Amino acid sequence: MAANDLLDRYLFAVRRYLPAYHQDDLVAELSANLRSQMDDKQEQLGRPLTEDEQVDVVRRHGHPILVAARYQPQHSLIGPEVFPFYWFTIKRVLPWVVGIWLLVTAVTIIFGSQGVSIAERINVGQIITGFFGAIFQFLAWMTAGFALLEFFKGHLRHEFTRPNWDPRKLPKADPVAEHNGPHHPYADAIAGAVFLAWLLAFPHFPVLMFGPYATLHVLKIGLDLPTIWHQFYWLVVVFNCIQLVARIALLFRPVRRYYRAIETVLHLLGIGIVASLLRTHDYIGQATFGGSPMSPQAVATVNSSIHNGLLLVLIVAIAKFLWDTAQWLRLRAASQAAART
Amino acid sequence: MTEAIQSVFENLRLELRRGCLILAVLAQLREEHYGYTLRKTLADHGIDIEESTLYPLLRRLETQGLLLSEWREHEKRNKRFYRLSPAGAATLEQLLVEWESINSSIHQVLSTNAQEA
Repeated sequence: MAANDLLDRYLFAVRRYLPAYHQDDLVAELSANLRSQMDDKQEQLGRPLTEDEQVDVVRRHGHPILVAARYQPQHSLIGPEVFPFYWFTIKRVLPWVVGIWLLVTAVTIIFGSQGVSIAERINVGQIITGFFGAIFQFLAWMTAGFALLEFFKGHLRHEFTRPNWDPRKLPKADPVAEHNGPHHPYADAIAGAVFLAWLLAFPHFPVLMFGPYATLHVLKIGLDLPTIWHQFYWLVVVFNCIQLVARIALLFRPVRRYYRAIETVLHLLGIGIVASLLRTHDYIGQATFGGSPMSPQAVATVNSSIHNGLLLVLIVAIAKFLWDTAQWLRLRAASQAAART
Repeated sequence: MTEAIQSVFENLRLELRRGCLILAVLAQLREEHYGYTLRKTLADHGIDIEESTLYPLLRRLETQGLLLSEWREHEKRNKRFYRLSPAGAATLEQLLVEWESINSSIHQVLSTNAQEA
């Protein structure tokens, strides 16, 4: 193969990956450099280069994709300053999204199309696709939101890099204090606001919950749910409003002295909401079925399963509350003992 | 040396070299060069730098205003010649002072360690 042909191939391949507005200029420069290198080598050897030697020169220069990539400006959708907030918010909100998706999917399957048995309403393929669709949508919206934050984060960088920041304002290195204040107050507030917006939006825009499968009849939220579920939904909304107000208040340092009390109240409210669902043993309600072929025995089984599931959730929530409180008391006692010595 | 330590060493070596390479390129471009001759001259001075690193670096330094460039015919071929801009010359002087200071501090640390040993 002639040297010109080899170089042309190589430069053509590099050009495809270069930034469009600099392609001609960069390729001309690379071409001049490579040709000079070949001429130089030829002069040293005192003979024309063999094909293998030409290939060697080009190969050493690097693969076209890698060579072109070095000329690309460095881009990152979410940079290292914002990424910890992004990651923390996802970790915080994702379990809630999954939990609510599961709950709503279960409810819509139970109360879905009338005159169709539950077994017929369960379409595993649609459920799996709907689940991943919901997760994908959640991640996409979060990524888009934080990418915007990254774009407008000038003030954030200024906050972190201003030369007169005061190390005395950093929180005290105290394990008890760790339990006495939010770890990531801004991410908590952002996560709370995003989640509340999603919670309020999804009944009107089922696509936020089910993705493209929202249009399928089997997954449409029925309007004939028993009252308890309506009450539950609004209790969750009110709870999240209270939680968001608390999270915003905790952005202000003086409020953080009440962090433990605020967290305790929020925990107890959460436990109360789950407990409120245990008031009844009727989660299906005959009125929603009309001419449903479901037998009374099947209704009783579903009601019992939901009740037991909620009971388990309540027990876990209470156990977690007790564990957190015990941890805090233990650390506080240790800290007081250390202060006395 | 285990593979893991070797890999750590390679990363540290690259970090150490990165800043030094910029210094070497700026220093060498007090005289005018085009990409290939610059690489060759640096190699003659013991500083090997890959083409895929050097050529984009030249573009970046030019964008930052530290280098000036122009296309010119040389040995019957059009080539892009680079040289230090006035801002580049001032920056190079500052970097050299910084480099001398680091170099001398490291020598002091090493000689103190040697005396204590």
